[in-house]
Amino acid sequence: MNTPSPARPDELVEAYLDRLAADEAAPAAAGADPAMARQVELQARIDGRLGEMLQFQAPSQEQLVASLLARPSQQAAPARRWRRTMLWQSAAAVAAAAAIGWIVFTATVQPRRLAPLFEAAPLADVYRDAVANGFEPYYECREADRFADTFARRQGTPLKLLPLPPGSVMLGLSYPGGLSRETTAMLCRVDDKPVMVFVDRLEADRPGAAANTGDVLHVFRAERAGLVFYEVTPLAAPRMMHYLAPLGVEAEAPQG
Amino acid sequence: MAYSRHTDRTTPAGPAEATDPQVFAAHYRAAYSRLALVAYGMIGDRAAAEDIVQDAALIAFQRAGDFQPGTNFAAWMAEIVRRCALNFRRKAKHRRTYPADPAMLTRLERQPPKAAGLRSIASPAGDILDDQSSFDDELVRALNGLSPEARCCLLLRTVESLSYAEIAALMQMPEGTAMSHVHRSRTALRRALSRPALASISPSEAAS
Repeated sequence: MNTPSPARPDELVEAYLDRLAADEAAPAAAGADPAMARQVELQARIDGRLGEMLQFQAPSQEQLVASLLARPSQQAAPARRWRRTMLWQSAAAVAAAAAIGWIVFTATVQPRRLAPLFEAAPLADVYRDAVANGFEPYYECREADRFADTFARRQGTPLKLLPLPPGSVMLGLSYPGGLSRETTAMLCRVDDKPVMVFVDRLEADRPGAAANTGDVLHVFRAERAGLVFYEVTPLAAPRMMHYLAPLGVEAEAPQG
Repeated sequence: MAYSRHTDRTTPAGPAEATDPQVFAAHYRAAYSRLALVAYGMIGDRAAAEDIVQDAALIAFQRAGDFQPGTNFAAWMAEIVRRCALNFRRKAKHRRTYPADPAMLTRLERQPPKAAGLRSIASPAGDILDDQSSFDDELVRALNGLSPEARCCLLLRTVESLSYAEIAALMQMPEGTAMSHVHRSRTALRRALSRPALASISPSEAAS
């Protein structure tokens, strides 16, 4: 190959690959230089895998036309978003000013107080707080191993989630407190209603856990394997707590 | 501007044609795989890329009247895709839900690879191990280590076999930059997927 000698090997390989791509007569140098031949071979393997892994299938013409025509109301969306952004920016500015004021106040005027390490809260309050904040779990937990590991780490007992019936979805796990700092909550949707199952060690159970339910919420309680389970739900019956089972214990999904 | 917006065969003839859903859909489908690769390049997540390209189609169709006849439809769409991807990335930064418990991931990262059940595919001899699954894992890992722009350029070149001029038009960057992104990205992937010393040193360099 007629290439200036100072060229770096990577550049030679790239030049060669580009000439290959352009379907020009491939220079013979690649075959003569084992190091370069290895690089070219590796690149071919990389390119082949990328091509296989990243094939995207376009939607059909009919699907696409239907979705284009189905959402004419979106015309106003950018303007709405812009207004919302301005509102958020204003709110953020006010919040930042308030935070700075509070820091100055606590540093200069208010005597220093130690905050309690943990304060138990009625589970219905924790539930309402989660719903008010969008009902988003702290993290999605799709792998059974990590799901079990989370409960093993926090409650000392690995748990598994049995197959759920139609209409029930596990969204993920959160650590919202409630009974103890270690309380683990499973966020679910059952018949499109937000449902939370709180799990903790039996010794962490507290008398006020089921308080403050109001007229809408129900709290159900169960004990298994040294753990206490609470289900906070707007539904009239517990629908999720029985699908949590200790790992290694043969358990069958409840009927219905 | 150093780059040019190339016209191509998939360009609608005029604004009226671009606002026709049938015509728009046909042009969009023709450009779909390139747009999806741009979205994937920007985000590095296949499912998100497909969502982004779909959102971009709806936005672009609403703005089809803004399309300049005679210019490159795919490049116009790609710009919208990139903006949607940037929005997605900005929102993802503020998400409160993680795909995995961050505390657990930190713990795994601190463990040596063997303890975490992972192993490198590099061999002492520099050969590639015949283990497709680890090869793919390492490939995705290396791909995610590239900058979004570099990833877009590389994928458009590798998967769609676009010329550097076409990539430059889609990504709205100079042709030389597109070429440089592709070259550096390919080199980075090869280094990640083979023993660095063997991948980067020629026999003449090794001898000196």
